[in-house]
Amino acid sequence: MIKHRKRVAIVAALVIATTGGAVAAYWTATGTGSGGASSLSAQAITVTATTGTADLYPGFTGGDLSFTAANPNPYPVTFTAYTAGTVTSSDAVNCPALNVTVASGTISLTVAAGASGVAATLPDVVTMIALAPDGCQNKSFTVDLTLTGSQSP
Amino acid sequence: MRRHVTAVIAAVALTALISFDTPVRALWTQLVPGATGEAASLTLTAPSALAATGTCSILVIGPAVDLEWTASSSTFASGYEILRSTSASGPFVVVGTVTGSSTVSATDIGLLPLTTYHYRVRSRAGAWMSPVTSTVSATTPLVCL
Repeated sequence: MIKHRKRVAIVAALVIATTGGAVAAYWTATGTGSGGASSLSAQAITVTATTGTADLYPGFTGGDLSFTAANPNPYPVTFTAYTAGTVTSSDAVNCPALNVTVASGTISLTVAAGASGVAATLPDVVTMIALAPDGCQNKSFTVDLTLTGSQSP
Repeated sequence: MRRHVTAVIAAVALTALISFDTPVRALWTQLVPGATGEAASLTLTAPSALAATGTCSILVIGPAVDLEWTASSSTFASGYEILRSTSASGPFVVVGTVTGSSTVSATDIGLLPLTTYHYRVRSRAGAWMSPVTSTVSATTPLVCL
């Protein structure tokens, strides 16, 4: 049985070694990791909404989305895409969230290893509809984001 | 002997892994649970320095009031609303609109002679309205020839 296991291990190593294609290590969001060439465990990266420069007004299509990021991992991480989700208004009564839309797209943001409080902005991704009511002045809108990234080389 | 062979093969395998051209990367989707961003809206500022002067309208040859003000600092303002009352305490009603944030004067015509009118102006941008200016007053002339 032990010999059999050794053979399996050897064959597996050879297969991995001779594949020659992309070798990727996949970590889950919770940081549980496994991989052929590395055994690092991804730690949770945090991205938190922060108040940026207010720029929205009725009909404006170039609003910015601001956040801060923290990367506790011992390697830099580069985000390459984001998907906008639910928008929450700070005043849902006088300015419902439907007055604001957020486009999804690509980004290029690298957060250094061990960095915290890294301020970042997604420029020109927020639109306030032209019919936004008067109650939408001086309000904030929190946007759920799904970020896709990878360990930087 | 088998252990030795195993070790050699493993070493070869590791060497091959290390020599890959493709960098070893970690790939995520939905990497950051609870990630959020924030956007914020502006406040539409009011015009300022409103001034009112009783005059005679050249167009309708009758009492009028010339109004001038300083433009709103909100560059996205689309125009202004002029509010008037015959009482300093109001109520004020919109008697005219001006299109364009750079247009900062207007003439209120069709007024009664020797009557004091009170004015306020506010900025507009879509459905947004700024606070109003301070109230200013002007009295129309008795006779316009």
